[in-house]
Amino acid sequence: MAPKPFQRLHPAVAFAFFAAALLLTVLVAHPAFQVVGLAGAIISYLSFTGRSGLRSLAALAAAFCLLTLANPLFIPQGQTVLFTYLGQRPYTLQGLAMGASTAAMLVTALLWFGCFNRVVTSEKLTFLFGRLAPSLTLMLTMVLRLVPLYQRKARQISAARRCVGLSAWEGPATARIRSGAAELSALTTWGLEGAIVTADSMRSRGFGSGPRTPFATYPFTGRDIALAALLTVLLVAAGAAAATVGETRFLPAFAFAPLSPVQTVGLLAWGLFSLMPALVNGREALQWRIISR
Amino acid sequence: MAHHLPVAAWGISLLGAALSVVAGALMGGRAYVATSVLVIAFAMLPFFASFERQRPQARQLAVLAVLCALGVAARALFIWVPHFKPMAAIIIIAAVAFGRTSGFLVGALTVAASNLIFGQGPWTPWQMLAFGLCGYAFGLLAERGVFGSRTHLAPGRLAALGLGGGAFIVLVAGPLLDTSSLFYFAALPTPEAALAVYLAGFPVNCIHGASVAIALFLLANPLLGKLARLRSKYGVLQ
Repeated sequence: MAPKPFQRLHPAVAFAFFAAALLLTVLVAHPAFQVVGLAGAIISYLSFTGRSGLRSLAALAAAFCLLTLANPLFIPQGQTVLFTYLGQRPYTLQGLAMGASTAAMLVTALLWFGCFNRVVTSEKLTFLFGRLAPSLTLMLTMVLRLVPLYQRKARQISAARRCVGLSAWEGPATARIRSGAAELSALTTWGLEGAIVTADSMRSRGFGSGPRTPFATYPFTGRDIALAALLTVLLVAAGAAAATVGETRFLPAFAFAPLSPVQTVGLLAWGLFSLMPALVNGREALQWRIISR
Repeated sequence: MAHHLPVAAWGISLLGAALSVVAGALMGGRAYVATSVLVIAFAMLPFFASFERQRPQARQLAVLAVLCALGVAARALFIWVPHFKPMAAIIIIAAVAFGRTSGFLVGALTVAASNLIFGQGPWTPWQMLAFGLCGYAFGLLAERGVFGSRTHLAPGRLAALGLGGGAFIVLVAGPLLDTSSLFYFAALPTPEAALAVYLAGFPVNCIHGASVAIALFLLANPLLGKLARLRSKYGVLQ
C-alpha cells in the first residue's frame, strides 16, 4: 500500500505531533476538550486504517463502556446517587462521569498510539535517535532484523526435529516444553556464532571509525515547515485555553467552568490539531477524486 | 563493563524527575499519569547514557542484540503452550552471564523491540522499566556471587535462580505492570481500585512467573555454557 501523506512527513514533525497530542490528552480533563480530542483521534485513526479500523474501534468502545460502568464501584463518593447496592453502597452519577472521563483519556491515547505505530516506523526512530544514541539505535535495528530471521530458523529447527521423531507438537506438556527448550538452545548456538561473524564483518568494514549515516534520509521540505508552524500555533492556542480553563472536578459534585469565547477558539484549535492527520491524508484523496472525475 | 554511571547523567535524571513530580503536583488532576511516565524515562536515562559513553565494540553490540532477539523470538518457540512467556528467563540468563549493566540493557531493549514489532502503547515505558530492573537485579546478584559460578550452576543454585526469577515476576515486575494498569484504567488510584487491580493481576503474574521459572530450570545451564564459551573463545564482554 502506498504510504499516506501523513506517513511521508518528516519524522521529527510526526514524532513531535504524537508527543504533543498524547501529552495534552493526558493533562486536559475538561469534558469539552476531551470530547473534541476523542473525535479527532477517531477520525484521524480511521484516515490511516480505512474500514478495517472499525473492528478495533468496536473493541475500544467496549473497553470504554466497561471502564465507565466499573468506576462507580470503586468511587462511591458523589452527590447524585443513582441506586444503592450491597446494602448501602451508592452507585453515583459523578462516579460514572469520572469513569467516562478516564476511559476517554485512555481510548484517545490508545488511538494516538495506533496512529503512531503506523507512522513512526523503526527506520524513522533510528533516523531520529541515531545521532543521540548511536549504539542503542544500532542494537535496536539489529534486533529488529534478527527477530524474523530467528523465527524462520526456529521453524526450520522444529521441522528438522520433527523429521527425526522429536516433534514439539505431540506428547504431554512437559515433553513439549522440554522440546521447545532444546530448540531454543540450538537457536542460541547458531545465533551467537552468527553474532561473532557479523561483528567481525562490521569491524573489517570500519565500524566505529566515523559518524554513522542513516539508512533512509528524510528531507525537511517546505510542507514540513508549514505544517510544523501551523501545528505549533494550534498547540499553543489549545494549551493556553486548556491551562486557563480551571480545574475540572467530579467530586462531590460536577465543577467545570463554561468556556469563554477566547477559550472556545482554543477548543477549536485543539479540534483542528487532532484532525490534522485526517486533513493531511484526506486532502490528497480529495484532490485525486476531483482530478479523476 | 564499567559500573560507574556518569555523574552528569544521574544529576540530569534526578533533576528532571524532581521537576516532573513538582509540575505534576502543581497541575493536579490526572497529571500523575504523565509524571509517572516522565519519572520512568528519567530513571532509565543514566543506564542508556553510560552504555553510549562506553562506545561499545561491535562484538559486544552484536552479542547483546542476539540475546534481545532471542528474548523476542522465544515466545514463538513456545507458541503452542498457552501463556508461556519465557522472555524474562532469557533476560535473567543474559544478566547472570554479563552483569547488571548488560542485564538492564537487554531487559529494556528486548521489550522495546518487541513493542516495535507488535505495537507501542502507553505500557511501553513501564514494561521497559520492569524488565530492565529484572536484568539489573539478577546481574547484581550474580556479580555478588549469589549463584556461585556464572558459567554452570549447581542444582541448588539453579533452583534458587529459577524460584528467584519466578518470585521476581510475581512480586516485582508483575505488580509494576499492574500499577501501570491502575494508573491508566482507574479514575482515581484509590486503595480499593489498587486492591482490585493487583488481585486481578495476581493469577496472570503467577502463570507468567511459573513459565519463567520453568524456562530458567531448562535453559539456564545450556545457555550459560554457550555464553561462557563465547567469552573464552572470542573474549566478548569479559
